[in-house]
Amino acid sequence: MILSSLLALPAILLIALACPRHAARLFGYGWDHPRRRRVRLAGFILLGLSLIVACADADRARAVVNWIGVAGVEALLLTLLLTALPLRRDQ
Amino acid sequence: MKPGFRPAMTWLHDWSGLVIGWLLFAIVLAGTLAVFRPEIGDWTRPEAAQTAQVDSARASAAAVRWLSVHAADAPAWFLQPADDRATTTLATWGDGKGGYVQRWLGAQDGSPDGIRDTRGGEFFYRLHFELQLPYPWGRILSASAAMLMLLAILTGIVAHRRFFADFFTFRARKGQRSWLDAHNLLAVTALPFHLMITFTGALTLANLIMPWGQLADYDGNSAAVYRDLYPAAVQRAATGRHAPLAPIAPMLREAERRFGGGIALVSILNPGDAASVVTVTSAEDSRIGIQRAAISFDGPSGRILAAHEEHRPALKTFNFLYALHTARFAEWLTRWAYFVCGLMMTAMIGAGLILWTVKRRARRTGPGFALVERLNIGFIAGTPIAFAAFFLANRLLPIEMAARAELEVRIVFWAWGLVLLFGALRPAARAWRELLALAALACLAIPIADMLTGAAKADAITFGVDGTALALAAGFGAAALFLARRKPAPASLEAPRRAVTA
Repeated sequence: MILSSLLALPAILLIALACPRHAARLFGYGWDHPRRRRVRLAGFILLGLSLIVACADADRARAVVNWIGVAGVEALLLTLLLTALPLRRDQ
Repeated sequence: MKPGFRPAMTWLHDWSGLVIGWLLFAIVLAGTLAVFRPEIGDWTRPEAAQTAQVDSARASAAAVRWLSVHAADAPAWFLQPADDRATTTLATWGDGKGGYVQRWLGAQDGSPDGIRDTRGGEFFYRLHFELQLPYPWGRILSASAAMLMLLAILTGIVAHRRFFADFFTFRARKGQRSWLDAHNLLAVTALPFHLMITFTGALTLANLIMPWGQLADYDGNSAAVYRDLYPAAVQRAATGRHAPLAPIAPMLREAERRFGGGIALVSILNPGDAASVVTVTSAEDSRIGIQRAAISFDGPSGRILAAHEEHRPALKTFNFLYALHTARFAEWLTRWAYFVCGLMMTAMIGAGLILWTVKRRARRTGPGFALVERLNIGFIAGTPIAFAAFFLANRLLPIEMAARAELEVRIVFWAWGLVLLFGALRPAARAWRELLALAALACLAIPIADMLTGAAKADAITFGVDGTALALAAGFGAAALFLARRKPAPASLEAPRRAVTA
């Protein structure tokens, strides 16, 4: 559970950074389309890997439910972080 | 409504969400709290201290001893025994006037003496789907709300065109855009949860709003439906001849041995009669959708009358989906994931309701806008205040007070009514600020009252409830502070907007 949650975190971060707005706000410059596509792909591969790790649990059904819940909360927290960091820097 | 598929879906999303939004807000928040039903029950009954490992069979036997003296004439007793999550046994029996009596009995002595009379977590659990209305109206309303919620989610996926493109977007301090981002963000990040919990919720009560299958197959004979659904639940009429109940503990031990697990429910039909029946239903364990088993014993002799383990595919599927909704299988991490996702769903509904008014503020006209705005204030700020009032009433009302549990519930609805009235009478911007500040104070008062009344303990339940109340107080306080510091929109900003939309 811990490993799958840890893997989901960079996965969601990569997918978020592949959105045009976030990379530009966070780094000050936008990424070109091929780069964003590669980052998004890497994010989804990591997310898939995280789900596979979760499914390796003996109690697969419960592990998948946990994974969905934890990934959702992680996505929310990362989004708030990606919103707050540039705002803080601007201030 | 503009022609076209997406505008039609947007229209449906807006209106299906709006008409049921306030009710859904309360239903979802109550359901979120109900994830911790036993834990809230333990917090609200600090006198029923957790001693050693609770034995459900012993707790049931103790409850039966107490009921034999205090509810001997009841036609049936229903017990939800204490277990490793709940320190008390919930006993329900008929009062002979068509109603039911509920008491929470100590796990050791089976007596309610010294334990404060409160519904605890059961209040939020029942409110979630019965809405404090008589059967079946609350359930029908909840089922309809769940169906509309499902419709709102599905149409919302279509309506918000950039749903996935803006997956991780939240643009702060941008007015309407920020509310839309918040609504979308809370919807997308927990979308699998929202879909699952809404679908399984609608399915749980589907028979009430779609009874045609039952009517067609059973011609409306609900007794026949019950017999087919629960073949091991033996029903027989009382003979009128007295016969003492055999010792119940060996029956429960035998049931536990056959189930290979715990007990969820013990029902005793015709107690004290020669035709008494003891039916024991298995508890769920850590597996999702564990198949329920039941066993019935002849009350006077303890002989097994019927046993059944569920293997029918349709019921196995239903049990799986039902278990996903109730999360009784869940260990602590999953329960917290359900709780946080539930809060996200509540916030998503709240953001959607506020978005409706923010979108229309520039051209606000007529009583419709005012009604929605006032109801938004009353429900979004009022529901947390009303629920906090329940916890405060639990700590502040005298322990030995008569009809204490009913008064706690009344206080919730009085608080709700007052907040709705306050929201209707005050200017909207002030009402938001003041009620959010009141919500923060009410949540902050929970751990303070807990400590001042000496009920606080150094255990996980106290940390969980008091800590969550403090976190919510901080959130509401920050929101109230943000509104207080925000400059009011000048009238000159409103005029051009009106001109544009005119």
